Amino acid sequence: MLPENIERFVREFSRLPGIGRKTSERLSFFLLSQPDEFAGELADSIIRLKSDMRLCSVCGNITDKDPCAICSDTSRDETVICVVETAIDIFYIEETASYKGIYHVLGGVISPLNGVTPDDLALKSLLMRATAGAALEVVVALSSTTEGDATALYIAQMLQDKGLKITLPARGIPVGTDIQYAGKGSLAQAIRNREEMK
Amino acid sequence: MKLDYIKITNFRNFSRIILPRFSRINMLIGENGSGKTNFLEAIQTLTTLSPLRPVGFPELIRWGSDFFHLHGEFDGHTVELGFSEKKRLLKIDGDKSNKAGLARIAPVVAFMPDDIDIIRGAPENRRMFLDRALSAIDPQYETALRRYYRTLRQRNAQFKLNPRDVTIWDAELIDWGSMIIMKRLPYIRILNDKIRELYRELYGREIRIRYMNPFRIEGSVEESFRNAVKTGAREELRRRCTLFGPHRDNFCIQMDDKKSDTFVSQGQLRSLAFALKLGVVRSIEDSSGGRPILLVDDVLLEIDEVRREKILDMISMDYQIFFTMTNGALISRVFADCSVFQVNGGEIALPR
Repeated sequence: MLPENIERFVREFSRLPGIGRKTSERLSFFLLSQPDEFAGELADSIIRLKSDMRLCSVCGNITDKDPCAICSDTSRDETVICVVETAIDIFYIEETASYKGIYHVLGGVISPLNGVTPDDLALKSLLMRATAGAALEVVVALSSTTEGDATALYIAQMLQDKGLKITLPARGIPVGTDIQYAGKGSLAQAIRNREEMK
Repeated sequence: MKLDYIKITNFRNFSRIILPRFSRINMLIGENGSGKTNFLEAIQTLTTLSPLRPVGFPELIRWGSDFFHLHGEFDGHTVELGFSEKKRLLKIDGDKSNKAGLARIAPVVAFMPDDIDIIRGAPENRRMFLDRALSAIDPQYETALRRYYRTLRQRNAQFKLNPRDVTIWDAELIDWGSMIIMKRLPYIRILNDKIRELYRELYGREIRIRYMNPFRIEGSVEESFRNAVKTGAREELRRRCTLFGPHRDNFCIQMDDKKSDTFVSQGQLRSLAFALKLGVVRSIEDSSGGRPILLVDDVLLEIDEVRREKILDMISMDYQIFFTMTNGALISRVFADCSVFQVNGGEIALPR
């Protein structure tokens, strides 16, 4: 039986995704072997992670100030809104440095099997932002799954006849892939969505 | 395609079998439980990664051992499959490979006693037969099937949660569902050709497969599907489930305007099931150009001798075949290129 303090640490840490009981036991003994400051800094970073972060009241991004850095950046192109499933998708798209518009976090996709209906998603606020502001285009950047595609279609229908261009990110051959390894499904989409060379 | 050599280690009731040579026609003769079907299962598992019977890989390991290994030579290609501690490793010519690689090198079709359920059993059996056969030759069919059934589950859950929003799923349902139907129809034609040809030859009578789906197809499949969903919306709301689509399709075999399950004999059922599987063989040849290896597990027994000889005439020239039987006397004729293996208690004796 482990001492009560270690047992408590192990119990809490093994609630993290990908970390089981064995790993958190190892982590606890590693932390015990480190200088005192290390544990203090780690604990502080965890507390601050939660206490100083909130959701952006405009787009739903996770941020330390409201509105978030992207929404308050006047150089961003407000005529294009990119709809994403969760805030982490913003992080991935931003890393590509190839998008200059603004975002809207949906908070999931429609999935009755998991009890998620359109009312559970940030769709009303999307309709308001897309029609009240300067928006000309809505990019629906959801996963290419059954639920993602159905949600994308729902958004397209919600926004139709509002004078907006609705777009999807291109689907097809991954960059740097040989045609022979692309897979039939991806290749078929790529051929259908082929574009003119410029 | 031809299997030239096989080495089986710790698979089912075999501890170690090495057979260095096969003929075009290979007969495995032995008592029930001797391991005849296990031998066919070794070939099937090695070439399709799915056993003949619905079991997991751990159950294929010989009792008391902790791994199995299969090694086959097919027209100069080496295929190896090992399984131990929940991990499997497939190698083709020494390189790690997958199912798609296998289908190119060594296509195999197994004729099993329970094939008869495709004809006699519930509509699910026929759908599963079509879905398996089409998935094996068409990866896009497999994708469409996965997406369709996912959509179907969401749509049916939607009926329970909030029926007002059920139309959210209509586009996905119709897109993937139509793709499935459009791929099933030409496949049914291939099966139809085979089954008519064989039936005419054996029984001198006309027969045909009829594909049945819950809505009439007029014009395009997609358009008809969409109309069915539209006109059936009220009925769907009342019953709270999806009533139209390939998950409710079926096919039946008609003869003199009667359905097959009402009157045909066991021998006729057996012949019809055999003909359907020959249709699968044909479709593989059409899509890959290679001739599959046939595994025939005791299914000719119930067909009378004259017709059994006719069936053998139809297949023995073109394919490498592995037959299992309890009694060698059942096939009286002599084949030009034929080996007989005696199977006994997990051992297989080389032909004399």
